[in-house]
Amino acid sequence: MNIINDDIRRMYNDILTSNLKDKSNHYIIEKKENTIDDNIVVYSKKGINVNCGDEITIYIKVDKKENKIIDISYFGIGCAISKAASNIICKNIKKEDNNIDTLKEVREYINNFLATIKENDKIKEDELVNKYNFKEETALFGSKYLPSRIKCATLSWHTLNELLDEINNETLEEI
Amino acid sequence: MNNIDYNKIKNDFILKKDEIYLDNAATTKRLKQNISLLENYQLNNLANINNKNIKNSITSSNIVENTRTLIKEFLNANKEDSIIFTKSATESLNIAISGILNSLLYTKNTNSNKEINIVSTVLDHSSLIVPVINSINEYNSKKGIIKKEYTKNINLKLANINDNYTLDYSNLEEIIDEKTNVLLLTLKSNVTGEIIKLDKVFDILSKKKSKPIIVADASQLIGQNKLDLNKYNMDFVCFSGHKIFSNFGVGVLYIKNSNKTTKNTNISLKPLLYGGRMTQDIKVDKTNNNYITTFSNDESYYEAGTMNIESILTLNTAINYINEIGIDNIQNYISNLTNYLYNKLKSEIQDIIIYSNIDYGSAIVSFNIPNIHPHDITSILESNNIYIRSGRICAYNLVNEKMNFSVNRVSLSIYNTKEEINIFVNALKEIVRIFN
Repeated sequence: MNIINDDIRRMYNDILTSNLKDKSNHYIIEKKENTIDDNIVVYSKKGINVNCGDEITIYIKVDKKENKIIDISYFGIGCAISKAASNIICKNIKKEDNNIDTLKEVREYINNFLATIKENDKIKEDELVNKYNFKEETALFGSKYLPSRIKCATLSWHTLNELLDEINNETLEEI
Repeated sequence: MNNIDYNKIKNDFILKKDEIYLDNAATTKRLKQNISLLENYQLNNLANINNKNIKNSITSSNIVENTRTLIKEFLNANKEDSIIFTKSATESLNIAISGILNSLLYTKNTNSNKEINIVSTVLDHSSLIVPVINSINEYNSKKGIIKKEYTKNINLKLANINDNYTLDYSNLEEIIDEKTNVLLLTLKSNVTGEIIKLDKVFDILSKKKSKPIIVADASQLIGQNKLDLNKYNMDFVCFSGHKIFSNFGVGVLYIKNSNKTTKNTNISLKPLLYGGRMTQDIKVDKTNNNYITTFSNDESYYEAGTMNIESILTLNTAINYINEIGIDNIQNYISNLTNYLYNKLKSEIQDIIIYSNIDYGSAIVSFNIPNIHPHDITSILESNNIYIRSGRICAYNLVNEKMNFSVNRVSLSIYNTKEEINIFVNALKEIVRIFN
């Protein structure tokens, strides 16, 4: 007989099989690249979950001319949910043809995700699945069954959002 | 031991159906009998204490004083010793530690007190070590304004652990000497469950001709293991009620042979709080424009303000309940159960790292499973009504430095059973399967 309930099992299975073992986005983007081309700038921000001790840094390499993220990665320590969530965000921003291209679209994507996980709204969830071709993101919605873990599922999303805010303030350009 | 029906014990507690509660080192479940007892008190006897004209006030005072006596008997303490009620073990430890250190630090230097040497262990909970660190930092930050003849050097040394996570007594022996002023003892680690061998500690002290003031944190030990203060001469002992079945909001500070100036230590221990009940008189000295206060000489000196009489009442019930079952019976039952848990984890969970030792038998088993973060384990278990604890569990020196920042901790109590441990270990096996 299984003791662990099916929703939780599914979430962990989905997240783990596809993301926890995928280390392709777990690296540091060196800032020295900032000196090579004026239009290519590397930014980073560390997100900390005080309660759990998760510490994950998000790195992005931005092509300012094109207004696009050309590389994104994460690095740090955390639980399965926060690491998998970090991998998902990196993977999908790198992917092409999914309406997450310009910096403005990246921000829209993050905000949509955060709003949906917070509101726990099934209709909006389905809309997003259609718009962005969500697959693995929906696995993160499973953290609503573990209310204390929503912070883990959203840590890197909030960090990237804050990083984009900082870039926005710095450049004074709408992104 | 044979005449105790451990299945009936479950019925004595307020337990949720289908919940497996294995986080007793954080707080225990409460006794059912307190529900009616509190209702009766609140209906028939509710009154603040120290109003000798009101019958109910006398009843409330009696609850408090009877509980003091009960705790003294429970600890095998002497009549002259004091039992002070606080809100928590943390408050008790703060009164003792900041009181001792302030008394030692802010006095004029003699030849023997220019250096203050404090010894403790890495097993400490934050509630023991942080008040020490805070007192030291506060003193050091004032050094510039403290007169030269009052300036002291403070040394804090922590005894380390061995590779198998047990306290390194030879290291403790190395750092203790006749100059040691204060010795802080975590009687049972909230992480590993190791119980300090007091015989060994007192042997070291006599061997090293060391006579420090001893402050003991008994929070994890009390109610599960015998503590005999007649056998072990300790100056201050602290614990909380809610880890032995009472409600939140009551802690205990035991002071040996005391009051304001403890006869043993010659320390003039100041209270943390000032206010009502501790104050016997206030006089106005008009010529000097001064107020002169006279404070009480008894326990109330440290108990300014309204006491948590309801929680003290539940602590009274809890200690009576423990006495009824017998501390030796409790110790035996929990020891067997802990060994069962330890062996089951060790034999059924591959590659598990257990930080507790098989011979502790002391309710607590902490562990890590490689590549599975403790928070994932806790929350998967929680979503299935099994409650354990994970994280740094307020023992930063130990968990951060020696245990990779986060551990899982299972802690048992008298109402837990082998069946519950079986379900927990099976759930853990399923989690391992999900992650592999």
